[in-house]
Amino acid sequence: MGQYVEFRGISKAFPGVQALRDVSFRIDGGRVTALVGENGAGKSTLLKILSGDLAPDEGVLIIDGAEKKFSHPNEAIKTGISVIYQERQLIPALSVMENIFLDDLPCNRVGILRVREIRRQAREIIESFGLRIDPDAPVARLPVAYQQMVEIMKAYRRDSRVIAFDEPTAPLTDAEIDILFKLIGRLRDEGKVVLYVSHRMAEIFRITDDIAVMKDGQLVETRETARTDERALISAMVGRDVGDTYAKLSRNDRIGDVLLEVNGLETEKVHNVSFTLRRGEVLGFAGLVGAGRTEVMRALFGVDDVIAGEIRLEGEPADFTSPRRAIDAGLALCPEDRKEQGLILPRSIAENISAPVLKKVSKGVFIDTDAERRLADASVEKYSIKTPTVSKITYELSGGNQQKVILARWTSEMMTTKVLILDEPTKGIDVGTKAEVYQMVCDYAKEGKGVIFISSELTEVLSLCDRIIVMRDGYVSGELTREEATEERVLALAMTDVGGES
Amino acid sequence: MERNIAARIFRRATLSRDFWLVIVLVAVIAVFTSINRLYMSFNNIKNIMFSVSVSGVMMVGIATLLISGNMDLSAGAVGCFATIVGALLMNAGVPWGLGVLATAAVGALCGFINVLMAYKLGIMPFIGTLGVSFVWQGLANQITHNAAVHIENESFWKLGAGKVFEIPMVFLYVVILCVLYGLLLKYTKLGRRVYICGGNRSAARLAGINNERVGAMMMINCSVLASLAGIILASRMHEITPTNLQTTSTMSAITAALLGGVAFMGGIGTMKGAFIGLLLLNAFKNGLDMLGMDAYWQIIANGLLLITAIIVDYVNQRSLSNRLKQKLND
Amino acid sequence: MKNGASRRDFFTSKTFSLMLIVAALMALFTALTKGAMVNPLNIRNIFKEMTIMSFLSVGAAVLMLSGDVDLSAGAIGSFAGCVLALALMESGLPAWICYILAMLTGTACGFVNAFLVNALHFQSFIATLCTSSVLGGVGFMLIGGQGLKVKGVALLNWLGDTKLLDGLLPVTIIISLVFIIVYGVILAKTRFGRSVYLCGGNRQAAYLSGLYPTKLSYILFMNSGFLASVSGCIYVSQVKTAYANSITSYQFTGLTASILGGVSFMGGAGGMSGCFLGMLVLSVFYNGVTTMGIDYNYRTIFNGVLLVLGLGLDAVNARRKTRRALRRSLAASPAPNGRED
Repeated sequence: MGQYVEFRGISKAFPGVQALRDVSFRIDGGRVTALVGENGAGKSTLLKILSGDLAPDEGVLIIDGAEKKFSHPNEAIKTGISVIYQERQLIPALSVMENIFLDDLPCNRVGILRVREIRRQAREIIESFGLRIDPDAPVARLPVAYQQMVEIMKAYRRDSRVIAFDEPTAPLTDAEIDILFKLIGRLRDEGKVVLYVSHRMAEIFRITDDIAVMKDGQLVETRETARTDERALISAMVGRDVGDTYAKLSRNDRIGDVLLEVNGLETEKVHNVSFTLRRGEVLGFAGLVGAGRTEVMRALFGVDDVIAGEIRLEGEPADFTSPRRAIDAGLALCPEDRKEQGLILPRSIAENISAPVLKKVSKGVFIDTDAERRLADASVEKYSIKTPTVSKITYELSGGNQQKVILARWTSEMMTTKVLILDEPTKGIDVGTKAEVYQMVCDYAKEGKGVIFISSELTEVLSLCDRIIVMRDGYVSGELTREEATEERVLALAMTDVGGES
Repeated sequence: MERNIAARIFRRATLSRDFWLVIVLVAVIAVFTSINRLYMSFNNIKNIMFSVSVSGVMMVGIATLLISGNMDLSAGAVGCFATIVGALLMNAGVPWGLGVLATAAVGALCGFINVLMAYKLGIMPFIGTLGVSFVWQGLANQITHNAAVHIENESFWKLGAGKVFEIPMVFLYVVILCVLYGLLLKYTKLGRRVYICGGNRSAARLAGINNERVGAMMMINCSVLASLAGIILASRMHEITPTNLQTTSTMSAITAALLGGVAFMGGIGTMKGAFIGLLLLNAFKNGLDMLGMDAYWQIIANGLLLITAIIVDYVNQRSLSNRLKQKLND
Repeated sequence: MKNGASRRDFFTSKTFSLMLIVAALMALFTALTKGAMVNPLNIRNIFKEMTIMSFLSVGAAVLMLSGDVDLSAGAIGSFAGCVLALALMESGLPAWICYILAMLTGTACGFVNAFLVNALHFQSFIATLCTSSVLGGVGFMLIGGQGLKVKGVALLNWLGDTKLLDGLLPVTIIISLVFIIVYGVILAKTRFGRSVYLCGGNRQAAYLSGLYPTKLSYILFMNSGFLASVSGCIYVSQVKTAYANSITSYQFTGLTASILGGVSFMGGAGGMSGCFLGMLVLSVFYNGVTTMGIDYNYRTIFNGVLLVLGLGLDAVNARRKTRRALRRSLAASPAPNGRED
């Protein structure tokens, strides 16, 4: 029907990373286009450019033939672009109809709301969507799926021409997904441009007409859904040059007896997770964002509550109630979100590094600042942290160096680690340090320790790990040995159930 | 069919807090009346109305501010200082209308200073306003040398006197104010913006709302209303004493709002509920007075009431946020 | 002082500027009062003034470093003073037990605060405002508006009046200095002190590094209550009377002193040396103002102005830090990296 969105030559770089590289393709109205790619492919960056949250470094965004430059998300909304994010953008205290009209409440000249008008229009929209929701109901009391519907109705009321969904089905039941898909079908039939970002194969093949595949910041290809299948898709998403980084690694080849045993682990977010870790082994945890890998580690480390299941470290029960206990027993967890959960910004490098091992750098109750400084100096050297002194306050460091400080904390000499858990350790780190991290992992393994390596970078996981556990939606989806593993296999496990249907 | 049942359940659920508040209010009245029949005497009801009138004006400002997601602990001190300025002007011969205007202007200025602290400097509102409250209170004490300022302007007295069908005018002022602000919050675009800012800052930003502008308006509004509360007090008592309006008055206003369902974190609450909370608080205080309880029991009771109100608010917030939380795998 | 700062760093540090301010104030007021400021008796008054404030300030500083605030310290201290007076006059217990009783009371009040903040998830400012008003009421209930005179208690008189060094140095000043030094050492040099800074800097990160922020919060609130009660007891010992609101004004002076001294309101930064200098600045200032004969009310006004000033400086400083940190960490920020979808 003439509506379309075109990305032309879109590039976007962040310090250290080229998130998007010369992305060009066109999405037509009246069709549902899926945007797929593994973590790091650039999907969310592209969405942010579409929604006006980010401006591209190069390239243009064309909406219905006109070039658009957004300096604020509000401008994108006014142009008719709506993105339904995973986090709800609703106001809990207000009613459904008020949320639908959130940004543009019809009112008369004085500013008084035309309540009856709002209610009437809201009721129209709700009924036309075939739903049973009271427009006056406070949004907070609606079930989650219905809240999402309200978001969609909000986008619809704006007469949006472009509607993008970012992983919409995560919180929904099957019945609710049916309702959602009916809505999406309706949007498509009205000629709108619908973008559907997801990694769920079954849904992609059920609802979309076209698929755009991204990899490493570039558009690989676009195909019609009807003319392709899962295997071909996954192939398109992977397959890259591994390069030299891994060739020079001296890996460990002596794997000992069982060190860590997890059986039927059940928490609020993950279910029936079982795996073992042996001495000298590097165990990879792969999966897409939201798969539950971090949650498993948090349970092991004593942060999240364990509802059911058994954890054993060196044969002894190891259900820790706090990180302190876990650390003392020999676990170390370098968190994924190093800024929020790792960095103590107002304190110095040395103080950050020594945090888990305060007892070891103390003489009695007093801190041995010399010992602390030596510890920090060693770490600074090991990771090439750029700083004149270890007394520098960490907020003055660059981002990459900040990341290194946290890595240093969990791998310092004073830590008596048996099981080192690294959650996305190379995120935000330059290539040179990455190599050091890899070698450190191998060295740990050689010392007979166990390493759990969570990463979304498939090449990393494949090159470094002896075995790979793949998770999906809170469950273990499969386990592969180094020999068996290929990028396709891992991605397939991450996106579908074993067997293929998700 | 299903929708009507759902609608009815929703409606009852929405009303439930106000409903229970009224029940508690009735219970309190019943208890106190059973202890002393004079509690429900017309004289005593008038007393309650009088006390509602002063704290009510302040509460309207505070409740609106809380809903927008902000906080102001200096309201009482501002009211005190601003009213004293106005009183002194009136005693110096200025017509009372200008005197009231001057008070409101001082209030607005104080509110503006709060805005500067919060948005230009970035000081956390609760401690910033607490800090300035010392300045205003100190100035008030100093100017009056800790004594009352008697106001000789008789036409000014008329402001606080007068009744309509035996109901004191000042009480009606509060009722009208509550109704006005209630309508504003519920039925105007600005009112909605207040809820949106308080409820979800990022959604507000995306919707094109300027959080800081809304917040600034609410802060100044709160201070102006606080100063007008002082005017009402002064007009009734024919004088203004620095000890009559202080930070404790601010705490009472906050307690009333919280009891009435206004959330501490913002984005939730209605003026109707806050008004019931106000009635409840003042009925309770009056009852304690009537029982001959010493002043200190009142102070203790106020503190305990505030604690209770916050706990109830917290419990409410928890159940709300559990419902908003999606079962995302992140 | 900290972490091997060079000589040049010292002269640009906050500590030095504070020292300069103290010197400047002394000079200013000496001129204004025609020399009355530097009278040795007046100098002693400065320190006497500082004594009561000092415990509250230390308690406030330590708690602020961990990210919380106690606005009920004044009420707790006054209440503890009342308990002391009552115990001494009515209970017949030996004096030293009465003192301990008073301090236990303060600690218990601190526990209540900690409970409200940690178990019931109150924000610390509102929790302590509530307990402050409740305690104020209870204080009045026990003592009434007139205050309770304490007569004939040897220990009390000794504490309040004794001056060592031939009448020059009151015992209470010595106690205050001892506390400041001890807490300063604990903060700067011990494991416990370090955990205060770490928990205040980033509570979650501290927990994940094996510390216990909740336990710490309980300890520090109880400590704040304890220090407040020490302050209250010393007040009663000096003035020989307990009032229901004897030291509430000192609470905010103590808070202002810490903030002026560089203890960040957001937590995680600042030290006892700065706090001490802040106390000195304020004491000199108030003493000067009193010596000049200026009304008491101006104290409250000045306190408010100084508090807002200190908070403003602190906030602007914090903003500058976050802006720098944000700019730097954009280099490796998780979300825009494109890797996390």
